[in-house]
Amino acid sequence: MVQFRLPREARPVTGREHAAPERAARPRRFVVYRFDPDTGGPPRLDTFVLDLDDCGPMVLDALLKIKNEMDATLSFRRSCREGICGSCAMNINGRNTLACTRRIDAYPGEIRVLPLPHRPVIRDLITDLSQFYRQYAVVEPWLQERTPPPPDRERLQRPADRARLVGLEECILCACCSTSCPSYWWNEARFLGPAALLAAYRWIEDSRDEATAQRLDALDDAYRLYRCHTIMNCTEACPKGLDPARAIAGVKRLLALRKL
Amino acid sequence: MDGVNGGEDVGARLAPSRAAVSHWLGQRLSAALLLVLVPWLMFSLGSAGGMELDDLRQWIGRPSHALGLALFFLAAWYHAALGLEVVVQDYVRPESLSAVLVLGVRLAAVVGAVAAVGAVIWIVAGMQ
Amino acid sequence: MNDHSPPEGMSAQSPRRVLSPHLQVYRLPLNAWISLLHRITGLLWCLGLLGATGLLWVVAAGQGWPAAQAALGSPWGRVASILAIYALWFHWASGLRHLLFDFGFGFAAPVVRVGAWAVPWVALLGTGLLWSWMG
Repeated sequence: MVQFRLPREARPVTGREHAAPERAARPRRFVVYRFDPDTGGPPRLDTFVLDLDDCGPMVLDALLKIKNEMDATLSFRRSCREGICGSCAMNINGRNTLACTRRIDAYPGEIRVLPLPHRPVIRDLITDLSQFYRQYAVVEPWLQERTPPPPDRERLQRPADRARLVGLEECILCACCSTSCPSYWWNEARFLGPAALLAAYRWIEDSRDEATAQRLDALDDAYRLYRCHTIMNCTEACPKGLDPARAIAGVKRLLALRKL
Repeated sequence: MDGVNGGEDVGARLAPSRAAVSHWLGQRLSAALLLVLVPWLMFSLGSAGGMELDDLRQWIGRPSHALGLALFFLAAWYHAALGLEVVVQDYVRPESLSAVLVLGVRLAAVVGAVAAVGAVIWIVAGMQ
Repeated sequence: MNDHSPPEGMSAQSPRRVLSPHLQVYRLPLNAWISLLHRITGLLWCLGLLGATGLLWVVAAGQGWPAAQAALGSPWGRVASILAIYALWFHWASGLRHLLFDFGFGFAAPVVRVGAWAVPWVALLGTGLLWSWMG
């Protein structure tokens, strides 16, 4: 059977409490998942109390403040701090999102920051996403052509054809969607997951791509594609407002039409 | 490390099965049939518990009713088998056990469908 | 498609990893609960279908119908029947929603939420309608 529970050694225990600074005007509790692979202990949930009057507005600002001023060992990925690199994807108050585009005051009370769900944790909020990237590679996310390009110009695309890619090509591969999907949790070894399938559909829909039939062949599989049961956690989670569930439904519809 | 990533990504290496779309289509087509047949049955036989045996058989014995009922049981057993298959494949490990269970589910569904259609035919035959 | 060998590196070095919390911490959206209930009501009706086939056999054989009637009419039988009817309507409504998704309808996020919210109420309406129909 699939493991619904966390293995014993993966269950977090209550960790340290880092108190608020003296005379904090607007104290706010942040509970942060910690895991140190070099010590033998289980993961911990450490509490950090910050003064919001002395902190940037986003959850990522709070994490940076903790790292700079309270505990330099806190590890997490971040880069652009404006929602385009996808590095700071994590689970905040039970939902996957980007820490850099989430306002602290959008959450009412204590803010719980955990790594992306059902991934091997490397350290603290950093998870191993190599499988996620391999699945992206499986859908061969590049333009494939049979006919040679025109000698005197690039391959053109009509505006209407280009418009079909809107909502598909903006994906930043943050993994919020795939790691929010229960089907991906239980079948991550064989189900490609919403992000890779969104990418697959992006190339299927591209008027210039000439490998549509092969792309569909490769997805006609009980696990790769059809573990998707339209639960729609992916769409709810996407910090870019994309709709992987709709894209996957598009792939299924094309396969069905081809069969009929 | 072992166990955490569960057998690495087999899916990336195995060839696609190529039959999955039929399963999906069968599920939707039977669903579309049941979308109509289930309310019809609920409103027709919802009060069957209070009916006399002869009245009930009379109702089932009408050709259109018998046909609808047989169609319902065929579609429902088929739909149930496909659905159970998905659930088994989602949760049951190892995959050898899951494959055996899927076979069992299919067998049970065939037995169920044959039994149901057989009973309808029996009732119709008994009316003559 | 081609087989892409995994990029080696980081994963080999780390001495120890644990699985991050998932079901334990994820705040499931309403869609996910409806999806879960779709599955549960479907499983229940696998049993229901077994029961219905059995009842059909009782009717065909002409033996044991009074006993079946008594069981269905008993207080527990009535409760079970009403729950089963509600579960069937639930699966019906949720299934209808899934069919619409399959045709590409109803994907915009607000529609998704309204649709998910509507499923239990449509099921209640169906159960109520059936109830009043039977008098």
